[in-house]
Amino acid sequence: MISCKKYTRFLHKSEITPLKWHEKLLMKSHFLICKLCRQYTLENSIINQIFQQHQEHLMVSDEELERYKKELLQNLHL
Amino acid sequence: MSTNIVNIQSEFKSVIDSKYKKFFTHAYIQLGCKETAKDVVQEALTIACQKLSSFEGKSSLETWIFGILNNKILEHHRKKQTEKKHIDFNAEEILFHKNGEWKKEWTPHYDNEQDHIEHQNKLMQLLKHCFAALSEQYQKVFSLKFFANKKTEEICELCNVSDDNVWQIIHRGKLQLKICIQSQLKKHND
Repeated sequence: MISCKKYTRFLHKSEITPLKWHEKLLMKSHFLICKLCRQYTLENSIINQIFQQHQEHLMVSDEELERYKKELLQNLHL
Repeated sequence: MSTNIVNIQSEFKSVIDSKYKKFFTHAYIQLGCKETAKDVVQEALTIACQKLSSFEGKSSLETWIFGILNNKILEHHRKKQTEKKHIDFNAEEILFHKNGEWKKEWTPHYDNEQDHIEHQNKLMQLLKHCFAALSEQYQKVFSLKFFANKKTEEICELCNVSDDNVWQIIHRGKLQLKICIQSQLKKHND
């Protein structure tokens, strides 16, 4: 059996790199018996979702870049 | 002489016109924040324009501008380091008991809220605040992962870390965000 701390490590690791089969198994079995970690998993996915929505704020569109460029050229009187 | 300056100015303008996106993307990846990237790029290009007369043509104009931009980026990182005390603590020790169980006061809880949309908005604001408090390196890894959707190999290359470092940064960063968000929510409710 793994601890909650270990579970969160696996959970975050799984977002970066595929887990080994025994790591997946340990994670799944902990998930089934631990209510707090089920809650944390949900909490983590809410954060990821917000990041995903926020992404559009952070990614810069070509139109926006064009605007920045115009602004700069105007300030430089070019 | 004056035709020379006019020539170099028009060359400068055409480099900005065609390479602006390249300059911006470079700064954005190094800085991990759109607003900061914009400020740093505008500042560097303004300085470059003012210093055009000292451009000797030893390298291409684009390379010369990149040099100035890189200096500005470094300067920004240095300033940030001295200016801001970022969250730097062992999040695992705060959240978990020695045996690895959750401490009661940190029990996961943001899902019990009734008003979903209002709660999401509040969470978004808090997340923004707490994200800004992460160290520069963490912000950079997070923004490459979650905003730029970069593959792990690319994150390793751009941040000069191993893939084990990447997930550890994500792990510690996520726990730090949890501590920060939950402390703010508590403050709010008290």
